[in-house]
Amino acid sequence: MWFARRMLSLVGALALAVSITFVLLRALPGDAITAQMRISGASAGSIAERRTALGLDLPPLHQYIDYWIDAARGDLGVSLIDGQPVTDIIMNQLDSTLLLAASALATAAAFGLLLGCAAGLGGFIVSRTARIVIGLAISVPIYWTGTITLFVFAAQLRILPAIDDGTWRGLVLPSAVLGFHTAGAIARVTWATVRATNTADFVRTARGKGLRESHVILSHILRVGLPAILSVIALQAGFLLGGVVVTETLFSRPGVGRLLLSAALGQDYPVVQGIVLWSAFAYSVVQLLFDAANWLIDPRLRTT
Amino acid sequence: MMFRIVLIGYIVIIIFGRALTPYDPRTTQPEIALQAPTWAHPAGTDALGRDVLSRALHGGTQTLTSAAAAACLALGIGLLVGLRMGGTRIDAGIDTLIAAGLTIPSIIVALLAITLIGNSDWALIIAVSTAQIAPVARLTRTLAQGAARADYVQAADALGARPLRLLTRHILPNIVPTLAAYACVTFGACIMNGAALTFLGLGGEIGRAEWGAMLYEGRQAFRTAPWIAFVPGIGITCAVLLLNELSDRLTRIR
Repeated sequence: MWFARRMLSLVGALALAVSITFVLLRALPGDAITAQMRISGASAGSIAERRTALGLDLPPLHQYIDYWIDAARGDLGVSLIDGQPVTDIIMNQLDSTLLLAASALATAAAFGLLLGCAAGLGGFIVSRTARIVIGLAISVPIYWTGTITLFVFAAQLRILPAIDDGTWRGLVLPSAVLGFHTAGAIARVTWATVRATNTADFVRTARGKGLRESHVILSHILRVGLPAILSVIALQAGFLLGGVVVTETLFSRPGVGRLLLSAALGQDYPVVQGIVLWSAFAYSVVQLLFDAANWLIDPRLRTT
Repeated sequence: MMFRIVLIGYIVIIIFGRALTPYDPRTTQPEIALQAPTWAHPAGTDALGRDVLSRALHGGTQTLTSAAAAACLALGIGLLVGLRMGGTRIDAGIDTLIAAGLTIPSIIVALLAITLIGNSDWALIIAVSTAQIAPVARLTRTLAQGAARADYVQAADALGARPLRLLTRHILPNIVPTLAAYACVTFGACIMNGAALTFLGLGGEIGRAEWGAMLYEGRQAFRTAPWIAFVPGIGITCAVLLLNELSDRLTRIR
């Protein structure tokens, strides 16, 4: 029941996101076809013809209903610029986005948990240092860290490429930089949870029983804090899957984020619409997965 | 104490720093283009031979004012929406709307604003603030609902106080401290996101003395002149660090 309600709310959010984007995009004057064909000197008649062929002259409500009917069949329309199916265009960029999201998230989760535990449980020096690192991860803009790492590793040391070359070497800098900044949010939540749980009675009992400290941290403190930590990881995963336009631009990587930027600037609305649908979908699926995980981890959720 | 000194120092540099710069941020000197930091130009020069430190000191006011305007806009609207939500039954519907709002990329909002009102600071402000409204509204709603459950609010309600009086005299004073702490975080997020949009070339013109634009120039010249990005990046980092710390302190006072 609880799960079904969550699912309904996420589907609602997805439908709304697509609808709002649909309205916003129609509010913009002009589209890629008109802009492009006018430059190439096409007559008003042939522009109108092309628009009719793509169904752009229909009333907005009609277009809107058609969009959903086609989307339900897995057809998101064609690009206004080169006529390719939107699903193909997005699929071509998806590999790169998924790879970066996965490696950045793995880095962020590992680093974030470590930093959070160090800040919450470490001695004076360890916890102070960890807190400073967390503060930096949250406050330093990624376009700054990115530029500096590019200068050091790609321009000075020349050990890693500045532009994605399709191998693992091109992935190192972007996932390290993106992972570091994503780790900030994860570490902050971990730190707060760990600090709160550390003084709980059952933790004192576990220590009193003579359990090893590593066992106390892993099986007692972190287990109780896991739902909160997982929810922030899920939130970050949702953001990463939707494409990270700044990171992709910084490191000249292909990906959904840069596709969105170029499609939006080129007024290629079917592509923009498709990406919004994808990111809302990815966000919802990740949320659902983590909801399910929480449900398994936390027995208290199952009683209500 | 240390924190206050740093905070006041930062504000002084932002407000009065531009008066102390020996160079005009717009004067180009092509003969000294892309110079590494020297005593004459402590932060180096950019591709047109302009002094980077002077540009960064002038640009700070620009970046921070836009971000402050965006934060105020987001807080104002978010507060109104949040308070309205706290007292209605259509709560779940608005919650879904907010969740949907969170998934719409601010690039699209920025583009819409730029197309409709032109590439001005206001387009950037609107795009940045739109992304922050939903979280503010959500927090206000949660806080207001919590405060409304208190016995003295129930008592005032039973005594026949009007909703507006309940809101302004009993609920708002209780939630303002937490909101103030969150306002600092929102301000910081607006600084980061505004500079990010300018970095991408959306909102605010590239080439102007502004931190986001300078970071963009720094990225373009990362092989030859990474110092262009150095000072603006530190400016943003310090602002966000100070705001986050201020937020933590405000939370602790409560």
